[in-house]
Amino acid sequence: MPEVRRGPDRLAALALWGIALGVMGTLGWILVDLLRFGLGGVSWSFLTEAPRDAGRAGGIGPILVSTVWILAVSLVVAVPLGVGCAAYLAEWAPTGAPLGRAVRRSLDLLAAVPSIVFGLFGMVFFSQILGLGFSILAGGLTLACMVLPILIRATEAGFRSAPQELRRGAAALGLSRGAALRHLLLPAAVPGLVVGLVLGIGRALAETAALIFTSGYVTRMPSSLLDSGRALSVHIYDLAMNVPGGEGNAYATALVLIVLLMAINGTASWAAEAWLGKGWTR
Amino acid sequence: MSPTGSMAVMEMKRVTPVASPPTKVRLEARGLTVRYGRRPALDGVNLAVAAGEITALVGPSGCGKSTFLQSLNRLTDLIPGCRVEGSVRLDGEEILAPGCDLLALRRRVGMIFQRPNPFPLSIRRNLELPLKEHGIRDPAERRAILEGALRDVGLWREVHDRLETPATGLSGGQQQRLCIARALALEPEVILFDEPCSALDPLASGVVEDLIHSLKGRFTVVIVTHNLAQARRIADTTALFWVVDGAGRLVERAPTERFFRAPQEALTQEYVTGMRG
Repeated sequence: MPEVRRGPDRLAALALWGIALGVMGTLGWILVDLLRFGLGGVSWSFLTEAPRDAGRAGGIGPILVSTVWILAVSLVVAVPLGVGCAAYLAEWAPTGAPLGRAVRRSLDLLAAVPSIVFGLFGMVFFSQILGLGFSILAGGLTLACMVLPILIRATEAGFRSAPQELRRGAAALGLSRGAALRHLLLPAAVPGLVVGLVLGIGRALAETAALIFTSGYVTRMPSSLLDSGRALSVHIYDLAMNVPGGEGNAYATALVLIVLLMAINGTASWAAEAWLGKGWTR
Repeated sequence: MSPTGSMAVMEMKRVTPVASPPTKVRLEARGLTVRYGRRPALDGVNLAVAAGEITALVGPSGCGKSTFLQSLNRLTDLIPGCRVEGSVRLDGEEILAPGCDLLALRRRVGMIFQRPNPFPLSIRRNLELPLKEHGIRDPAERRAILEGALRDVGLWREVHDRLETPATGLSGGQQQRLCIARALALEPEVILFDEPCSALDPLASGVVEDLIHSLKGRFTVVIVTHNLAQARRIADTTALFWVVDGAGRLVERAPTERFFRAPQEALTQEYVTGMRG
């Protein structure tokens, strides 16, 4: 019996391991770097105090608050719109229908639009035409536009992953399409929605360009959604690029941003699992 | 019949069959033609289904039995590119008419599929969700219907203490009986079975078959089956479908006893004796 040649197989395995290690290594390097230069700067007072001396001293209290508000506005707007649009695309638009095709194509184009363009659009549309000015509301709405394509496509994939049997079974029992959507297909789409949320939140939290023009860069504590507010990523950008001697706090802020991102992602997956788990008995 | 099977059946409500003569027609298809795109799946089928009887549809794969079944509750509407022509009347009322209320129709004509399809919900919610959606608001009433339906299918004793657990955790046979209970709970007039036993093990298959047999009289049953012995055991009327000139057609419909003993058509003769199909 001829010997099976294992050489190429081993080489491929080695290469794949190398790639995987490289990916992990990059993330590890960033984290180590952030911890090394940033951890010393993070303290309770750093998280709560207002920045002083253009951010070289003081903390990031108001900036954290603004960031959370901007994110909240974008999600409150994007999630219902996104789920609704995904449900339409997956469940109502007949395959190959012109409207569905047009919506899908626009979404794919939107997903590829650079964030600076969203920033300019947001500034013109939300800040100027709608008169929201430099405000958390304008920034959050702009982010919502940016996040929507990712959210919709991921949720649509979630709906499509629901087995056809579910739809047939529901129809055979005389359930309306709305009832099937609410009680059966939506729970099935939750994993997709969570993937979209995690990707979307990641994109939103990392966003600088779209926010500078819309929510602005005032470091004051915001007193309403119509106040200007500086997001964490804008703060990092400002400290690193425009403020000599701001690197230390830039690192500390970046560390906070990463931890916040991880916490939100973790919570999202946990909440989805808890909700799905409850879905059995509700 | 297996001992476990008959035990489960003993629990079922026995209903005395409705006096048969004069037989009332519950469902009637006339000139029913179904096309998937251009391809005809069914051509010009005329078939009447008597109320309270069990009608078995037999024939080789791809002869249009399932297509015929699915046009009786218009589940064909869900298939892209599917066109249905002709007439299907339920109690004299045309169901292929554009204005037909599909939700009401499917409440009157229930359906059980080959693979048990419980929703990924609790056993209780599987039964209560359709009831709620069909306007039964009173929780006590829903509970009573739920218990009655589970008793009808001999499942109550097996699951009454775990109604809140996932229905997908039940065995295949139990899942299929749950699906039947879910259909019964809506009190349909007709129940369509699409090879309900072919995905089950022999034991569970026997239990489900006995259950279907017990529905006779109380419901009108149309069952598609590949199992000729099963058709012979439970059906009052048997109909043979066959592909003729590329489309499914009805070859013969006769009282089951005569269908097997003295078929009129040569094709039926060959099919029931195992020479063809």
